[in-house]
Amino acid sequence: MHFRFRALLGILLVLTFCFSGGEYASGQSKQIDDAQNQLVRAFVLVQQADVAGASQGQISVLANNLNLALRYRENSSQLFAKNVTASNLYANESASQSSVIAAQAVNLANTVREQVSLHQAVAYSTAVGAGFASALLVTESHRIGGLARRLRLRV
Amino acid sequence: MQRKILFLFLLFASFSLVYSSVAYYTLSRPPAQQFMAWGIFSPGGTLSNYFSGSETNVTLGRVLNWHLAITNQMGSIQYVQVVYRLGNGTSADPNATFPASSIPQLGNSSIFIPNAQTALLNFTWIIDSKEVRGGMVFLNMTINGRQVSPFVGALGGQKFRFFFELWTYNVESNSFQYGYPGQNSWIGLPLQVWFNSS
Repeated sequence: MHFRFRALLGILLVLTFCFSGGEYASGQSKQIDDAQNQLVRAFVLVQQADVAGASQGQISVLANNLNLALRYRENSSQLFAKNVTASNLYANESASQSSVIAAQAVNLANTVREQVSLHQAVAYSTAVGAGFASALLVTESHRIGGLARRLRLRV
Repeated sequence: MQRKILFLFLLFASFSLVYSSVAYYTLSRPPAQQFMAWGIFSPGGTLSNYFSGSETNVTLGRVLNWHLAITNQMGSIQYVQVVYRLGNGTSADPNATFPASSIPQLGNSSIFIPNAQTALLNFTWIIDSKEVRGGMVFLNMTINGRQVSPFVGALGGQKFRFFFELWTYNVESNSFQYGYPGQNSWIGLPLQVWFNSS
């Protein structure tokens, strides 16, 4: 009876240790995974802003920030085996930096798309307006001579 | 009168078509060949003289500082990873299609590179110690601050070579892929540097 109790207690202890250990280990690696996922998400959004037509200067600033977030994530991975707390700090910093970059990239992409749409609207409206003015100029060119003569007479 | 209006309309349509084409041409990005290029630079900033002399023999404790310069001309920002491996004279080479997957990687370095820019990655390495087993020399090294012990050895310490592979992040597969996307397929750009450690 005494042995059974001890065995049961032993099994319970082993199970508790396994579950707590598993949760702990997966919790740490999850933070680094999250940081990497956030980094990739930010990169995809910056690339979309780039393709939409953002200026090279704006993309360079975001690229520098992405590289900073990447360094944090790399530090986090390197420290994971030695110092879990420091590793988590770096992973969190990387994730938060990536979130900020992602938000900036979305804003930039929206602004750029609006500007591009505006430029297109202005350019094509000008083209259509110029087309109408040119057509009018050709069809009414015979009147221009008379108009010029009248203006000269007035002077 | 109707004829005149029709003529005016035809002229208007023709002129609008011409001017819209000009507007489209002006607003469009000029077409450009997309590519990535890279090289390994010695401390002197050249694509040669990696060992500061004609000798390619690397002695224990000698620190070598190389720089990997990567140029992005893909039309948009790229997430690039350089994978490095240590091989010997008989190792299967990485080529334009496949990486040297049969050799485990010693490490990698990643960076984000905006379009039309060149980024530098440091590659600092040192041979800490050597082990000789059956005539084969095995190295214990430190690369970019990380200690590594490649399982590939070289007979008499001759004809070691570093393989450098360029990988780019593929958004569709959500992972790094060997090379960079070309017009029809992915293009691998491996580099290698030979050295001895006898």
